[in-house]
Amino acid sequence: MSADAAATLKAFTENNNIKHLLLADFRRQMLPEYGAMVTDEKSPAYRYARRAFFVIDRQGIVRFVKVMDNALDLLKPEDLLKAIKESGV
Amino acid sequence: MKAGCSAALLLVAMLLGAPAFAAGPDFAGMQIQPYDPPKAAPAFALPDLDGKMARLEDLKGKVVMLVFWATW
Repeated sequence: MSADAAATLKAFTENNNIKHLLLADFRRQMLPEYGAMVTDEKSPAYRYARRAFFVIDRQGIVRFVKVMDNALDLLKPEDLLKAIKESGV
Repeated sequence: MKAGCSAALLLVAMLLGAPAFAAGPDFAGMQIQPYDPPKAAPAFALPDLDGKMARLEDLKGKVVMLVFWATW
């Protein structure tokens, strides 16, 4: 899920051969529900996504979470995917 | 003697714990926290890049890794 516009993401997926499901939350519908949006009360336009990771089990229950304060901190999704597979969630 | 017993107990505890740490996934190393207490993921319905609606409920029965990102 990205906060970028769908057209931007479509070009990104085509240029990078991305196969997984990618959704655009350009209108910020989903970000606040997951506590993954940064706002500033002085500026209504300031609504940025946090880099965040959620692991949801087969029953739709959130089991693990990481919401990062600094978007420049990185976590490789493939490392998390490997851990999920090993955990048997 | 007492110190020796304590050291032995500690060693046993370490040996018992070691396989779990060695074999288990490294969530802690990635600073991934268990969501405690676990709760239902907020539902969502957003169009995918082809305009088809994608809903969390459609993924029930699968483990979902949900990653939020953007161009910062």
